[in-house]
Amino acid sequence: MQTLAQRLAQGDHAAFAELYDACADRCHHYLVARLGSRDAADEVLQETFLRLVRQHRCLADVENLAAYVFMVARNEASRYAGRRARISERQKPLAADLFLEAKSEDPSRREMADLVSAALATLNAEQREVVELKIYGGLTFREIAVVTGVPLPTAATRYRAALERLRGWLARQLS
Amino acid sequence: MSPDPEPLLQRLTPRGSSADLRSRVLDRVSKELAAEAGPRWQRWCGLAVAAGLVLGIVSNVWISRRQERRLAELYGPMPLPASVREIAQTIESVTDKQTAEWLEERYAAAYHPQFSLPEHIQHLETFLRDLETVWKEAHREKTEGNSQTRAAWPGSVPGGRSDRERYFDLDAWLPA
Repeated sequence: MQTLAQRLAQGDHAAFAELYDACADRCHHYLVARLGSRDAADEVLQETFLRLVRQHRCLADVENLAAYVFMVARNEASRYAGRRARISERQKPLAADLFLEAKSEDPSRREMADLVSAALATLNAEQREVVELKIYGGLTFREIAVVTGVPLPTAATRYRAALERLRGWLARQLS
Repeated sequence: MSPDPEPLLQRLTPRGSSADLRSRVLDRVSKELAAEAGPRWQRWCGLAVAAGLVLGIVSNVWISRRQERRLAELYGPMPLPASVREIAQTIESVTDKQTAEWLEERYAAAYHPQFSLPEHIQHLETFLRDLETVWKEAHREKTEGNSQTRAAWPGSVPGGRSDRERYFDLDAWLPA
């Protein structure tokens, strides 16, 4: 039986649908966090899949498809931000753009979504990227290192530093 | 609420992409895949045309050579150009018939080569050098003979040329 990567390499449309269902939501969340807007994330996610289609013959050699999709998405997001410099100024997305709970009828859930969104906004771009990829992207540190192009210990250190910062910020907010 | 950030972050659900975006992206994907199928078909057509062209050229060369061989079998070797025959006659007049024939054969071999262009040029150069050597040799012999004959006549110029002797500037023909 052929793997998903092999089917993608053959240009199988169903395989692309499968890949979309496996990664698109996580990737979209990462893009919203990175670009600060759902519209921009929509556009970049589409560009990401088009780029994957254009180079589909190389996909047979890809070992980790999820990490590869995130890497392509990251590159596309950088291109997009380069094209529209004003986007980079808006690095802090709204809680409603990021989490389902932000639109919940339960006030405590909405409060929690706002709190997490505000907490993430206190991180610098590098720390926030690692947290987004680890918690919401579901990637391992090894995969994060591949996506962001940094050594594995650096990715882990950034994550720990981000958690420390969040812990301090949350303690101050909750006291 | 606990200040531990990790469980707090994990309790939230990412909003993800919309169903509308899914259909839009997959629609673009299928269009892109379909567009890619077009050029591949065109590429095959292009390759087929190129292959046909090469085949045409090769078969043309083959047919032409075959035709030449057939004509040579039926009517003998190809006639030599008039200028070559003229040179051969001149050579014959200053040397002998055998030398003229040898030159004609050499020219015919160089003129109808069965080898590549660089080899052809090299053979042509060799032929012209041979021709020049033969001509100079014959010229030297004749000049010496005339000098000896004219020296015996009163008023003759030593080293003077006879009317039959014509001068061919072969250095101008040869490549540098």
